[in-house]
Amino acid sequence: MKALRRYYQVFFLALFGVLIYLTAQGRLKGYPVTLFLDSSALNGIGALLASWNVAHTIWIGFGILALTALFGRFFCGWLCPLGAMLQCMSWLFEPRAVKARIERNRYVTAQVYKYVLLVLLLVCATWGMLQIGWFDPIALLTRSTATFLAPLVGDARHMYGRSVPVRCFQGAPLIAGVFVGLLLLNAYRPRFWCRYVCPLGALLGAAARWMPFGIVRDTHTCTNCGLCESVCPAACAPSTTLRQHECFLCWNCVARCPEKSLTWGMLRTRQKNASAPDLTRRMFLGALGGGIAAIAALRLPGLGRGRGAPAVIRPPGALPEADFLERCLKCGQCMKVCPTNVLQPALSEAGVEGLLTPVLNMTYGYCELNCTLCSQVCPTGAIRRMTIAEKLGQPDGKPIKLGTAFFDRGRCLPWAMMRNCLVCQEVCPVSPKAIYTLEEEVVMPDGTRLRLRRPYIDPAKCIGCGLCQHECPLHDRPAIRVSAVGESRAGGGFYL
Amino acid sequence: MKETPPPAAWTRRELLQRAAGAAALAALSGGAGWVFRNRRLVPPSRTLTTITPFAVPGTASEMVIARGTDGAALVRAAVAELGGMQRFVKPGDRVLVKPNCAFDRPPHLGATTSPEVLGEVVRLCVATGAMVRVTDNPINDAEGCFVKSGLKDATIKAGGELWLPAPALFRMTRIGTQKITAWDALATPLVWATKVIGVPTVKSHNLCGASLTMKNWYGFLGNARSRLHQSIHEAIADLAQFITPTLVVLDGMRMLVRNGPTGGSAADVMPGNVVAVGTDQVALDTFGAELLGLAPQEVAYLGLAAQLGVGVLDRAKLRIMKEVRA
Repeated sequence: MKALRRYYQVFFLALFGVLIYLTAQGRLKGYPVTLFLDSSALNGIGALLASWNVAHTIWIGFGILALTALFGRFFCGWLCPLGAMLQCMSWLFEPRAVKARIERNRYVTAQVYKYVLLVLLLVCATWGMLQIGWFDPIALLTRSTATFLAPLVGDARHMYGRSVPVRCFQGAPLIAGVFVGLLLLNAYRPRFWCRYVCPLGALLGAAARWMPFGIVRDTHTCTNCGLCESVCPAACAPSTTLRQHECFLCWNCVARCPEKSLTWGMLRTRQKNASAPDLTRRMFLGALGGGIAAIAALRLPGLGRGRGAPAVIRPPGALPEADFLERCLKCGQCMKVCPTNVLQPALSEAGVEGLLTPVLNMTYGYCELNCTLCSQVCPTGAIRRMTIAEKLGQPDGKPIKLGTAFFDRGRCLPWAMMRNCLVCQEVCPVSPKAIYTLEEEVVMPDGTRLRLRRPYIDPAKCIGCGLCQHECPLHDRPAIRVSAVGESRAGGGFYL
Repeated sequence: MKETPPPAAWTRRELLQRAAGAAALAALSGGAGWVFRNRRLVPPSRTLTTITPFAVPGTASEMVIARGTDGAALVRAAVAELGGMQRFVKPGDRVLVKPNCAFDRPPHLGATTSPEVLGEVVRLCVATGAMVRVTDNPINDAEGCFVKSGLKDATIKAGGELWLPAPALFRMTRIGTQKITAWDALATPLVWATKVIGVPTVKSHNLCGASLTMKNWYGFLGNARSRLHQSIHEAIADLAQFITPTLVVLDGMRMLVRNGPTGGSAADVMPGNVVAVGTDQVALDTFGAELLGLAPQEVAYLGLAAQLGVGVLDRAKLRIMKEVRA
């Protein structure tokens, strides 16, 4: 069984990698690239609580939860790709001495903090603040892979002379720092994240409350040698009173036991396992209050809503900001699939609530006219699914408008420096073009007169794609910039 | 490893309880998955609130102009000439009165409706046995506007209630047919009301010429309304379609003839000594524009609203058109 479990872990980690690889232009051919995100019941329940609107794929998460109620946290031990990665790292940091290993794998009450975090996140979600994606292992791994590991692989391929598109992400150091930190924490305790932090593990552990099956110890044959604990990644105390809410069902202890005292099966009337986490009432109420306080505190400056709400340019099809924030898991799938690299994890642009949510940054790219890939991979509908025809407004003549471009006449070459340019008009992808020109007579620095074409914006035609901004020769601070004014999702119709 | 005492054993009852608990949880979770098996991600739908017309049948196309120096007496005389308030408001009606309370200014600066005019309108409604609430979503702080304009006092003394705008009272609402089809509007009071009475004041306006009855409905709109200035005449015509009032009392006691719509100097105010009461928004506003020295064609929204069938420009064409002195 232990070997079988390892095959499963390798398989699911590889599957995760393949699905991430497929999340790219030209490869996304209806493959279920959100499979792992859907399999996290935490994502599903969080999005459900926050927005009351989920996809049918939530059944995968609920199905795993149902099986967990019967069999325990098999997801953590067998399926979770982040778990597999962390287990591998833990193995690298493993000390030689058996005694030291036993010491590191002892159950400690601090493992209860993941349940506190779970309650806190669910409370926040209930009031429409979805911060679950920060901690959901799948969202975390997807984000880290999309913005850090995949670009790293891309860079490596560059070194070998392969021509692959360069992917850069403004938040990558932050995301990479968190991810690498997680990997290194395994040096302190094996699977540190899974034991102390992971709220999905906590949800599944709580679901294992009454599970009738599990690892059972025969107290007659057990010699209390403790070897089982030297190999236990979950710190679930198999040598004494097994913590079934912590157990990953990894089978290490069963395989290691020299007396064959540990077996898996229906709980027998031999021994009691500890069923429920050590979450005291005080901790539970504290988490509840903490969650409510967190919402209030994070929304104090207006942040994502109301006055002081940051105006950001969101992907085409993104819901109105408040609805968007209730759904976005910050998983980074849209950033992974975006062919131009324009979708970037927000740092300060979208407020604290919107940290790491996708925003368009025209320095990196622009929104491709005939493309709706981001809307195809969003697992929660924060970016609503739509066809290219819908995006272009072919049925009703109202294309999706991300914002409006504005000229900075103090920098624009024909306006400020009397030079010909019009790159923006050249690249404007809509037809007829949203940038038009008027020929005007200008006076040059030496007093001569010259006829020059100067660009103007027609706000009724501009869709805010940002190609003009991306291509403007004034690369450090373009003379034409898109702002969120006039975006379709805010309503307002004719009015900017 | 230290010796641990043999752990307590499960009883059969406990095991059965566990099995039942686990089965229930699995069934619950599986059931939830089953319930959602056909769900699709749909963007949240915004249902639009529709505001019904508030006009009383048989009272259309009426107008009375009352001239004199006592605002309250003018209101009484004009309403009496139309057959009394009981023609418009019935006992048990919920009446929403909408003055122009846009700015934090004292009454004598003419930027807001005269307190004596509003007070008299409220008193007449209360006298019919109706419940009266006064509301506006001003540009400055709502509470401050109502206090400094004297409209809070006037409302309460006359037996009405003040209903200050709050975010929860706003909803996306159907407006008109021109440029604003839907907007965030003060929907809760409008849905609550069975009758709506507009009590605008005669003011000049920097962009659209005159702020009168139809422009006064701006005060039912939510925050981002400054965007409407990009095509203000169409927006005002839309607002005229949005609210079909039970009655309009146009206050011309202190006319703000310059520096509108805010004013700020007593020199900007001219005594008008007139109150016009009626049911035709366009005819009333044409009269108001004339008071400010503007011809109807100088105020584009008048023509637009007339084209949309909101009312008539020429008050000679009204069914009832009278002038009284009081």
